[in-house]
Formats: sequence, C-alpha cells, structure tokens
Amino acid sequence: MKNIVLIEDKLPRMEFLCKEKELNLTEIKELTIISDSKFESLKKSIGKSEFNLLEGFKAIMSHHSAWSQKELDSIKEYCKKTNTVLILFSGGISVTHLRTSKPQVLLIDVERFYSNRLILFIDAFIKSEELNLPILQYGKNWKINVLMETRNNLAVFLSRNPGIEVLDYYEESIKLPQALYSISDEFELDLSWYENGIRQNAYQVLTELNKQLTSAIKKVLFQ
Amino acid sequence: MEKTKIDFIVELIDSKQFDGSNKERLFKLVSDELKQIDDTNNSVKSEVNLIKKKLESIISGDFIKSENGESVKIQDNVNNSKTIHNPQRVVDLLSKFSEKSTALKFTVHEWDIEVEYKNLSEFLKQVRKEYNEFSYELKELKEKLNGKCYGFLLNENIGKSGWGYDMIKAGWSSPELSKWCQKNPDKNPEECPLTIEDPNKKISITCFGDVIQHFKHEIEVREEGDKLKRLFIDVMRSSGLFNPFLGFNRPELINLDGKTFYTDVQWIKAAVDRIFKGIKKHQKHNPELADIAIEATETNEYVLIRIVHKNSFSQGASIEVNNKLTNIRGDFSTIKDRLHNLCDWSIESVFKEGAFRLNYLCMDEKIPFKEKIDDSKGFTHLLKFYKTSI
Repeated sequence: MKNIVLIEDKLPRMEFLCKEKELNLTEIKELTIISDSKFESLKKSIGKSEFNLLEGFKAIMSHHSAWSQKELDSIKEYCKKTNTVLILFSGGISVTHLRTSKPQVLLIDVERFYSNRLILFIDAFIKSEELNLPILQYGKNWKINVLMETRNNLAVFLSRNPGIEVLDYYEESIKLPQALYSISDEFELDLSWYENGIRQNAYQVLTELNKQLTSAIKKVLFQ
Repeated sequence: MEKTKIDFIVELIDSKQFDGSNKERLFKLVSDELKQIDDTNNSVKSEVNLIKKKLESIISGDFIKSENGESVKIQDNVNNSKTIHNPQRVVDLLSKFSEKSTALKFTVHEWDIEVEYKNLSEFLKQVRKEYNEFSYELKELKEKLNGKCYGFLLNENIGKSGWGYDMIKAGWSSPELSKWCQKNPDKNPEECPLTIEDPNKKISITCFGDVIQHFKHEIEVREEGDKLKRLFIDVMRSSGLFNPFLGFNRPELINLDGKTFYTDVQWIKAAVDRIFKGIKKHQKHNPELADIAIEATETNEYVLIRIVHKNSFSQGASIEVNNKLTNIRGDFSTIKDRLHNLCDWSIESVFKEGAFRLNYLCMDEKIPFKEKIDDSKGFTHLLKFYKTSI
C-alpha cells in the first residue's frame, strides 16, 4: 500500500541533514523516496500533467524549489482534486505556514522538516492512519505548544493594549496560530471575534479568552 | 597624453620597487579597475539598447512629426496608449530570483551546502553579472522596482538612502556585511547582526537574514502567512474600513488564501489604498453602500482579484463621452500609474448605456477598451496578476 511520498531533488542536502539529525528515512516502509532519475521521470510526467506516479499516496512531501511555478500549481490542483495532503519544504521558507482547508498544505523550513518531528509525524500516521500536520509543525506535544503560543501572543497584545474597547474585523496583530482553529471546538475557545470584530469591552472579551486558554492548557497537562 | 590607471599598474609591475610587500595594493588596483571597465561596458550596452528602443518606437509610429518638423511622442491616453504594458515580463524577470543554480537565487535563499562561492566578494561579482543581464529591461518596465533590486543587491551606499517602502538601509553590498563576512568566513551572511528598528512601521531587524526576508516580501506576494489576504486586511485597516463604527459591514474575503505571484508589493499596496479610499469616499455620501467583497480566482496563467463595492453603480455616467472614467485623471490616473506593468486593471459597473467593463491596463492589445458585459454586482476593480511563464 502506498502511503507517503517524499520528493527530493537535493539528495546531498537530505543526506547531510539526516546524518546530522540521525534520521534513517530509508528504513521506513511507509515512506517512498523519489529522487535522482526517478525524480527526473516524475518531473517529465508532471510537465505533461500526468500524475500516475503520485496516485494512491495520502501525502506528498516535496522540496518546494524542485518545481517551477506551473508544475507546483498543477501538483496543488492534483492534491485538491484527490484531497491529498501537501507538505512543501524549502530553505527559503522563513515562517511555517499551515492551511487547514482542503487540501491541507504545510509550508515548512527544510531544517525543521528534516527533524525528529518528521519521524513522529510518520509514526503517528502508521498508528492512526491520520495525517496530523501540526505534529510536523509543533512536535509531539503540539496541542500544548499551540495553546501556549496563543496565550503568549495574546498576553503580549493585552499588555500593549490595556483597556482596549473596540477590535477591528480580522485583527491580525494578536497572531493566532492557524492550528488553533483545529482544536477550538475541543477546548471551547471563543474565536468568533476574529471575523465579527468587537464593538465594546474588547479587553474583557480577550481576557476571557486568556482564561479559556489557561484551562485548556491545564486540561491537556492533567489529562 | 595623460596616464591611465592601467599605465600606472603596468609601470608598477615593471618597477624595481615592486615586491611582495605591495602586492595587496596592486591586487586592489587591478580589481577596482576591472570592475570599472565592467561597469563602463554595461553602461555603454545600456545606452545602445536605449537608442535602439527609441529608434524602434519611432519606426513603429510612437512618435509623430509635429508642425515644425520635430518628433513628438504621442500622448498616452486610455484609448490610444502605445506605452508598453507587459506585467508578464516583469514577473518573468523577477522569477530570476528563484532560478536554479544562480547566484541571484542565493541572495534570497538560505546558503546551504550547495553554495560554491568562496567568499562574499566572489558571490557579489556573480550577482552583478546576473543582475546586469536583466536590469536594463526591468528599469524600462518598472524603474522603481529595479531601484529596489539594485539597492538590495549592489548599492554600496544603501546605508544612506535605503530601499523599498520601509527604506531599509542595508543590502548585500553594505560595507558592514562585507566586513563581518571577512571576519567570519565560515558563517552564513544571514547571521550578520544588524539593528534596524522602526516601531511606527513595525520593523525589527536584528540580522541580515531579516533584511533578506523583508526583500522577499517586497517582490513577491508569498504563500506563507497568506500574504495576499494580509495585504488586503492591512490596507483596509489603514483605510479605516475595518472599524465596526465606520458603517461598513465586515468585508467578505473570498479565496485569498494560498495565492502567490511576483510583483512590487509596495506599489500594489499603494494602488489598493487608493481604490479603498475611493470606496470610502463614495460610501460617505451613500451610507447604505456598506458591503465590500474581495475575491480571488486562479488559473495556471494568472490570479484575478475582484474588489466589489456591492450595489454601487455609475448609472449617471456615460461611457460614450469624455469623463473621469473614460479619460482618466485624479485617483484613477494614480492607480494606473502604480499598477502599470505590475498587473492588468479594469473596472466593471452599470453605466448610462448598460453594464460595461473598461480595460485601463491590458496586456492583450486585442482586447478593446470598452467591453459589454452581462451584469455587474457593483462597482468592481479587477486586478489580474500574471504568474511566471518560464
């Protein structure tokens, strides 16, 4: 059964990082690595909009710069049609970016990608058959990491905006991590203000969210 | 005849006084002179190209003979524009920053184990060579964008002027970076410590890597961080459209996630700012027009953004007579100037004569300025951003 494919055109870099971080990817049965001549064949196929070499994989992990923009667009289109998870890594990506809408997409820095988190991500998939991108982004304790990051960002915002009354629609400066939305129902976090804005008592509304985050963190810690 | 530097160098080598102790000075003289020759050659090349282009435009009829026999350039106007509008080419030129096996790519990409350059100076020589191959064309198409690239890559005096919207006073040719790299030959230039802070603009640069990131976000709407969505959110916020008390309903942002294309982000923001200010002005007199929708659609060739001020129409205006829509001036003229060679720009609305699309900036010359359309949901700006064709 095909599971996850890793497409890498920069084999020396992969080998260097795997050696440095003691990752043995070639031993993972569930992982198919496409590189060298196989990569060249794949590139030719993608150029002709033929995706048979990628058919059946549940997740595609690829070096971002291995593709031209046109090729990348067609891979994204393929992932959209087949609901395949897409992970793109590169040395040129400074901020890890997760898109939770279908198809799920994760953009991640190459050093963060080739790390123990990759092994955890694949292990979690083998155990549960679920592709949990936040594990690759935040590690094993991803829920606690996401909650803590949100609480820290919120605390900074509140300290910079004491007594704030009104909040615009789509207030971005609080910096909510995208992965938070995947657990907001589970922890009953009220995030409706992001889309609706707040017309009064914004400080109190956000302080309430801070309390919700604290109890969510406790819940995860003492589960 | 006056002695040239080359004569001086030759004399120095022949001189009995020349020994190992002054070889460093000689190397510097030779390298400076070679660089100058290179620059002169490029400058001559640019001049020749400019003359060639001007001759071509005279032949193609861009110039007409005036009554006194002089060549006069045909005035640029909406309906008879011969000005080059080629946003696709600008995108293709900018995509050189992601071309494999180039030094240019590594000006915006982490230096990893494949980088073969011995030191910063060798690297910058190659950058200069690659930049010179396209800078003339980029300057012709979008001078300010070219200035930004030059400032980031090659301007040794960038510490005085700065580049881009935030006037970042550092680049690859900053003497500070050069000194640091000489002292730290085994380290990545990205690690060079730098401090640039501007709390008003929310800038906090602590190392050269931050400068690189800043540049990347000035020449490309990037996927990470959903920068297209952020761009609209930022501009709408600064225009006051997000304030719940201003009278606008929450603007709809549709399908803006994950879109990416090369452009000059600074000038796109400036143009979009004018568009929103226009909407705000119109709504002030018509408070019921409180709905805005921004939607992106995508093909393999382009990303099309529609900014719709719902139910706002131009039914009083005729497209058959000269007015501010057909013979643009004021804000529309500014928008056109800012978007020129960055994207196609059209508007759609219902006019006295019915629903029409007016194509102010259109790369495809076959498309007429006025197009009849079936319907319009409100005054709409259409921005078409091309993807790289290479």
